[in-house]
Amino acid sequence: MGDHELNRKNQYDEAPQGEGRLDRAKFLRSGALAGGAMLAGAMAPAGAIAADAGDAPLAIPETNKTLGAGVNDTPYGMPSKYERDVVRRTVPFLTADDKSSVSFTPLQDLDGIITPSGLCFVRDHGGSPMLIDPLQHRLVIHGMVDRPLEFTMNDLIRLPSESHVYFMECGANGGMDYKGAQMQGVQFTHGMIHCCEWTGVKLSVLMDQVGVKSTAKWMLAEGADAAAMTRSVPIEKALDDALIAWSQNGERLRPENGYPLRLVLPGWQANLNVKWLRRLKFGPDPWQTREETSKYTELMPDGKSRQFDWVMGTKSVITGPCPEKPMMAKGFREVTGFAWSGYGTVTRVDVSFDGGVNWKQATLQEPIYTKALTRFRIPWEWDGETALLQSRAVDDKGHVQPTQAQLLAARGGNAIYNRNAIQTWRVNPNGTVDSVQVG
Amino acid sequence: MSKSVKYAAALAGIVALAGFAIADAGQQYNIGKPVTEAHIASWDIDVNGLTGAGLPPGQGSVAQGTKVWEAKCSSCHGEFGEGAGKFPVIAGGTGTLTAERPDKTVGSYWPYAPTLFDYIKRAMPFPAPQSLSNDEVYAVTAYVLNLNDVVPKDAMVDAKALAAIKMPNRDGFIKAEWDTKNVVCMSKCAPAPVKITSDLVNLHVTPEEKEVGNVGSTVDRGNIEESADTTAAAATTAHGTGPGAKAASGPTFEQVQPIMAQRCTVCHSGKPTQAGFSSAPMGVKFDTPAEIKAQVAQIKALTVTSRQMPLGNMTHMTDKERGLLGTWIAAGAPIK
Ligand code: HEC
Ligand code: HEC
Repeated sequence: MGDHELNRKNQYDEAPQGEGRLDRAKFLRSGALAGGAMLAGAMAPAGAIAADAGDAPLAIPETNKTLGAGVNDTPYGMPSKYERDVVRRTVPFLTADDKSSVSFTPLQDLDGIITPSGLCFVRDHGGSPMLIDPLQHRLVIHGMVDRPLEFTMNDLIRLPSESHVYFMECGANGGMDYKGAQMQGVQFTHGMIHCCEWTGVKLSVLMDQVGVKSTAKWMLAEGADAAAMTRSVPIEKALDDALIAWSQNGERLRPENGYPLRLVLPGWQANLNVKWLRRLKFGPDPWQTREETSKYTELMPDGKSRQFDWVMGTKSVITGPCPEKPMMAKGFREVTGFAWSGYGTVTRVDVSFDGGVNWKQATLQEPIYTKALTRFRIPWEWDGETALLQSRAVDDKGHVQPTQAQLLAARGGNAIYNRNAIQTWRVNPNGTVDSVQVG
Repeated sequence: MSKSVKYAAALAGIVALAGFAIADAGQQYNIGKPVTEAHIASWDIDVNGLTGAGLPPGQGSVAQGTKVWEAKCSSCHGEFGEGAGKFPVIAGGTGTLTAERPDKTVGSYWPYAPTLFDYIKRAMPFPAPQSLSNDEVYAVTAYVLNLNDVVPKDAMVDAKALAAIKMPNRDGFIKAEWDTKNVVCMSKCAPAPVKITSDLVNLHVTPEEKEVGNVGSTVDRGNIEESADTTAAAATTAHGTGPGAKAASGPTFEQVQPIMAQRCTVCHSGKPTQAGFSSAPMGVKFDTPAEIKAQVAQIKALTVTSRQMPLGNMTHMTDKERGLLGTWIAAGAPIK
């Protein structure tokens, strides 16, 4: 198929100027689409293209000739309506109930390294409590401590605070693809991850306030949700870089991300970063809760299960192109994506265009933070032939992201959690992109 | 930090001010309200799975548990713990952990019995957590353990009994460590050309729910992790047929065109018939085979992958039809 067929500009050359767009506006205004859910699922706009009229002289846009909206028409700003397909999505068949389910971050639409709060994936085990009044909320810290204490939100924000950018990844991210490629689209293969700037008090400061006893080796964190989520955290992590956070990307946490208070354990499985945090208890042993025995453990071929696999492995993925962002034309296209490691800082990303035979080093974009998403970029001249795109991350502890074959050999196909294998995207001659696995 | 609990407790009393506590070195801000055990008792419900510490007074029998189960649990988990629909399977699966398709249940997988009490007490029944009395939790715990052949039919369970139980998979867990060894190789790292081992083009799992039902009733299982598990198994099965085989006998344009006409062309036409449209949205038309062919990448991205089209699914496109379009495009979108 020829170049011009891939060039979507051509598709609109003969389109009557702006008519389709106008009709859509009318159509939407007519209320034929019931509710926001449908709108959210609706189309990606292509404003630039709609305005392209071939050789015709540029028209003066209407926006040059009419006044725009008032400065406070939307007191809490919203994205342009043309961005309405940039939303979290879920895969209904995965779960029995949407209160114990997951929605995925649209990684394909993100730039830079920060995930906007409203696009952060959500994984709940008993729904997101939407009505926790921050004035009523309490954090209790007790167990093997000298002075059990109860904190209000107003107490906590008086304490010295810190802000850090960290990623958070669900242990099940990519788990559906352990045995074979199944999820089509980077939103579903890798979208159980987000990266935010978190603000809160260091947990070690709170541990000072209660006086944690030297015999305490573990901490239980508990949520105020319907799952009363509980996970055990070893004391070393609690003392190291753990935060008790009330803010995300400069504003208070979103309800579905733990409002008004959550635990942040940098680089560790998101499930441990307990949302709606209401209680911390110090003790001598791990609690062996359901979430660290029945779930979030990795069953190996010999029948044994890896437990307490807290640190999210060194990993990367190309987000452009990807199945949601097909190739539009032969020729130049910058390839870009995310790399991260729960062990520390990403030091290197290599990209292959032939399924892992040959590799080229990509550029890492500043800022590069420890335990945060890191953006990589590499130029690419596409010849229109089938290509197999891969990315491979390396971190400052020397971990190299494994291939799918290596991970499968190490863990078998039933491990479900902490899958950090190299992703392969097949770019087809017609420009479409598929998720595949190579041997 | 390595001193015994007893020694530490004794010492703490004597030299609390000497900085014995590990995290006592930092500044004291005198913020936060001191609390008593009585004040926090209603929140302090955690049970240690390994030791049973925290198990409350009370007891329950398998017989009493049967009543609780039938009234409050079986609607989701099935009368015998087999799981209704996609809700978690609670019983069975013994000896399947090394199988191709393991069944991870309380009996086959859970290492500690007190964890079961802790979880049911805090999180079940799913629609009304923390609504059961301690005796009811003990009883239904006994019932679940009996379903899994861990305790006999006439068992009565309390704190001591639960802590004493040795679950079948108690020794099934090991501490995880980094377990792969890739290297930074830059050229000729694998024999070219590489072989595709898994290709989901013919396996329309994402997010075509109904197709998945066809791949196997296997996905009619519990939570996301279990489903991840079983759909993976389905993938392997589906690949047995081989992508090539399917592509060769793939859908024809004769099958594709009526679908496009019915689901897309009502809007995407020189003369749209859909109310509210007087011309093709964004100039995108599917009136001729050439127009369709020219836009297969977009059709796939919007209809098969992200399902953004048809707009709001106004034209009720089915998952099967999306799957068919995907297969047709994957096979090179033949027009003849
Ligand atoms: C409305 C449906 C529903 C009802 C009723 C219900 N459950 Fe559940 N149950 C669930 C869901 C959903 C989960 C998984 C929750 C999650 O993802 O964390 C679950 C999980 C469980 C698990 C853990 C399974 C595992 O392998 O980890 C146990 C045990 C359990 N339920 C016991 C009970 C008991 C006992 C009752 C009755 C007192 C009950 N459930 C009532 C829906 C239900
Ligand atoms: C109910 C009317 C309607 C139906 C039915 C419909 N579309 Fe659309 N389509 C639209 C509208 C409106 C837009 C413009 C969206 C925008 O401006 O954001 C559009 C845009 C598009 C675009 C261009 C997107 C871009 O960014 O370039 C493609 C391609 C497309 N649709 C494909 C399809 C396909 C394939 C089908 C059938 C499976 C379909 N549409 C069915 C209304 C419809």
